[in-house]
Amino acid sequence: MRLLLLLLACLCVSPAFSSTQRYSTDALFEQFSRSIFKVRIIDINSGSQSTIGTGFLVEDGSLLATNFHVVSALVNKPNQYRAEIDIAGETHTLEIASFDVVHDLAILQAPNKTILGQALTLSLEPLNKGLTLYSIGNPHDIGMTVVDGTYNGLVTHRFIDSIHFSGAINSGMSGGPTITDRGDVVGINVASSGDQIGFLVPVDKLAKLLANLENKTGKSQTHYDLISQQITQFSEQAINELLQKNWPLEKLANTKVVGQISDSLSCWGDSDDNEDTHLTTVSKGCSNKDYIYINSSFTVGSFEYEYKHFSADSWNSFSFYEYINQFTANARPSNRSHKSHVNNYICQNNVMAATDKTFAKKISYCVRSYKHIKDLYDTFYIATSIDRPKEAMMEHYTLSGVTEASAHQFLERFMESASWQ
Amino acid sequence: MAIVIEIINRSGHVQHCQVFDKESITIGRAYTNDVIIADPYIDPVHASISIIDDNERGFYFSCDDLSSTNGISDSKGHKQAATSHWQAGQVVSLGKTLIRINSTTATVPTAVRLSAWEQISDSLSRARAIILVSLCCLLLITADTYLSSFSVQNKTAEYAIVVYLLLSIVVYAGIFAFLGKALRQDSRFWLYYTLVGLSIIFIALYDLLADLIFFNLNLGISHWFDPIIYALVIALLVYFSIQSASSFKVFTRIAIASIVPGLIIINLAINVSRNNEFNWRPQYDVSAYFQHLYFAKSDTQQEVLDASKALYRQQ
Repeated sequence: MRLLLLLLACLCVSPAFSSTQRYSTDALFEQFSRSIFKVRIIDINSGSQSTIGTGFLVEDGSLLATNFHVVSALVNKPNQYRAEIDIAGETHTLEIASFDVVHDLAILQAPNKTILGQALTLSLEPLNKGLTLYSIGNPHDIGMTVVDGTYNGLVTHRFIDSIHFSGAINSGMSGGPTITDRGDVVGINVASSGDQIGFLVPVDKLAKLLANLENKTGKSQTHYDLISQQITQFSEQAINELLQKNWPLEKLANTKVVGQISDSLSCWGDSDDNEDTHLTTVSKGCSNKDYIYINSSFTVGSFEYEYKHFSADSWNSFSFYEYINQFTANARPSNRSHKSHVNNYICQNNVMAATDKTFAKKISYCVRSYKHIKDLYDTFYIATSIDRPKEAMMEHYTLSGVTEASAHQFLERFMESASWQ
Repeated sequence: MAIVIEIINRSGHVQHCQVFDKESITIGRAYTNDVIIADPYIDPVHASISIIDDNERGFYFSCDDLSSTNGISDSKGHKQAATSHWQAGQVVSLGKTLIRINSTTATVPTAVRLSAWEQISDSLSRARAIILVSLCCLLLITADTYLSSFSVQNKTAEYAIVVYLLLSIVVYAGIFAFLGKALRQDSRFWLYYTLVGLSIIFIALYDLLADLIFFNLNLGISHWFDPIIYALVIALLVYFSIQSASSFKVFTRIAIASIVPGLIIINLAINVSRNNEFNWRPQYDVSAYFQHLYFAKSDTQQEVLDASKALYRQQ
């Protein structure tokens, strides 16, 4: 499972910086020390650091780019935390200038917009796969470290662009830059799934955020409003992409179900034929690998749907449905959530008559809203066909971080898409 | 006029009654006494009771304590003087035995009419009812085992379920039969057996069909109702069992019968008060049945969609 660097707890020794550099190592470190800093999130009550990450200067040197997840505590509990960096022994307290929660980026600045050091340049030129890149950061708070690795293009099966970087990115390097051998920033360290599989935010997302920063009007918008606006934009676009596609129907046992709608989703399948119970199950499902980090106990942006076909010719229909009831009793949403951020699910249960497109089914549809983020919802759908005595179809989906309109359109489309063959 | 001595238990039930056609009697453990009571706390010749007809006071009883070890007390435990006077119908305590002193002229109330409950009790204790309830229980538990876990391959486990069920019925009936025997000289084992059997049948049927009934009657999810049904059945079962086994007063019966259901209801109340507590899993109705079991009208797709719009407004 992909883990945020911030949460990653594995100890890892960083490889030495490669000597095949245009710069001498000393010069490189000298330059970094004026551009790349350890970002500390200080718990005001205890006065100690609670989170660390990395940040680097951009534009005129007054703005520090880092990950949203490094500074998310400031957004969620602004009275409890502050962000600091140390430059040549002097501590600067920074505030959030803007962020892009979807791409996990944040821009910090000093209250009086002080020039903090020398900015790094961003490179928007396309990269070739196999190119060696250098990721810089402060892994596990052991000091500024350079890690080399390979550019492997964009990660597939996601709505949110992310660069696959084969290098040892570790906890604490979050928000640090990944640069080319010319010293230009091409990505921002964001996550790792271990075993040298690292993820970077493409630098164009940062460029866009910086460009919008200049256009930003006033400060009337709260952080949560901005989060809501950004997630709404992301999820409307993603759900629209799914809705506009032709949903391919694939055979699943005796049924036709929705296959892979988009390349942004990854799909899987499974089957089981139990000789003792004479119960046969076949399942298929798709999900995206995206998630939008809002804080350590709350993520949104995951979408998934799955189908499971059950058949048991030798069973009586009452026990057959009793079994399916037990099987479908524990379905749950896929995003991480905590009571401080989401409300309870409210559900409705219906028995829907068969239509010319789909079978008769018992549907449970549940919706929950968020406590701070307006107009976005998690939705949960599970339905079981009820028109065949010894054969049944379970269909299920969850969408997280979607608007009512998107959720409604998806529900309408999904509930009539699967059918008996 | 003759003296009547009734030996009663603590709940006032007469366990032994004897009429003495003489003016004075003695009570004690010795075989020379008129009333012989095998209570080790009573002296061989403990007391003598005389009936005295006084022109002014009417008749009353005079009780002489014959230097007994433990003396004579009234029904509240107050020690009496060496000679004490009693009215007809009063309860006197000697040792650990309660006796009621009466005279043959005392009026006895008319018989209590046999209640419908007594008739039902009799019918429930007949062999027909016992066999029928036993068979239904066995059938239901077997059906339930098969219906709810079709894939169970372990026959021993299935037999064990049946044996445990029967054992628990017998233990329940045994407890109340013992109570009945001790307090009413009436065991009524088979009555309790059929009562608990009927309760089990009702609960098992409810478990099997509740979701379906609730859905068809459009009552929502049955989860909140389940504990109320269980509490009610347990309360009724225990209440009627106590009624047949003891001579407790109505309020005592209600109090005892409501202990377990009370705990269930308190638990339910706590859950209801916590209804707003966060649950990250959606609380949806998990039951689905083959469509022939749904009698309520199905919704159209448009109705389902329209109804879902309210879900976004509720929060």
